[in-house]
Amino acid sequence: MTPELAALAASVLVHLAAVMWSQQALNGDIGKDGNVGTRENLEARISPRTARLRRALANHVENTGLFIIAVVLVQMTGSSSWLTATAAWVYVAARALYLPAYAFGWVPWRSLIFTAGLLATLLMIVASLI
Amino acid sequence: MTPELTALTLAALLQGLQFLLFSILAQRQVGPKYAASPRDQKRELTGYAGRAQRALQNHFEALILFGIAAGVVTFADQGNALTGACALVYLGARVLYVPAYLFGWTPWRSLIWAMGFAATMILLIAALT
Repeated sequence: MTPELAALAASVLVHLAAVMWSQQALNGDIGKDGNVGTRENLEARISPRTARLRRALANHVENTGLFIIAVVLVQMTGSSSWLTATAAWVYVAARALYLPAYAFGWVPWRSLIFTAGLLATLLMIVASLI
Repeated sequence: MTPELTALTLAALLQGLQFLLFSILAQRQVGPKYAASPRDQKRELTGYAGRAQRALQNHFEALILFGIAAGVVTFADQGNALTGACALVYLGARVLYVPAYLFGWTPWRSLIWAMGFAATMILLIAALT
């Protein structure tokens, strides 16, 4: 397995952590019954911390789309190098740090961490072009 | 690189530009301080910033499907003139989608969106046949 594919697999674990953390917070707010229900008017019933975790998860999903494309492009064009491997793991580290950064309101670190992840992804895409 | 993968690369870079555009417009509206905060009080973006945000969101959705289509066509070695043209149509449509949203080109934005969606679907069907 290339480092980029290994990083893609690791990013799934980050995704899993984001789901579990936000679900645990959601259960704390509205209980298991509320969670398995149809979630009407959910935004008004959850705590600020839970809302943060849900936004963090939504942001992770958006970035995952771009990261999958970046990994696929690097793989298919045979552009793998130490640079793309480093970028892939920077992405994983950034996305892992993004969760506590959002949950605990690390300002301005959350924005910087997000930017690091996005730039790492774009770097991989550019590397597969040239 | 196949034409489908080239289009995918450029579409992903377009998303980088769209993010930049959204970020600039949004920060001009709500300020960098709010943007960097955990945003506990939700603020609805209006005007150009809101349009740039919705255009960005829409391309995230479309890009995932196109990523699958371009990846499958290339990986299955099903590329031909039609799939190359479809990939180009997708890219052109998504580039046009941004000004179409920002400047409220109605109903062209919806038609442009439909072109990108149709091109993606044709790519996927071409990969199957």
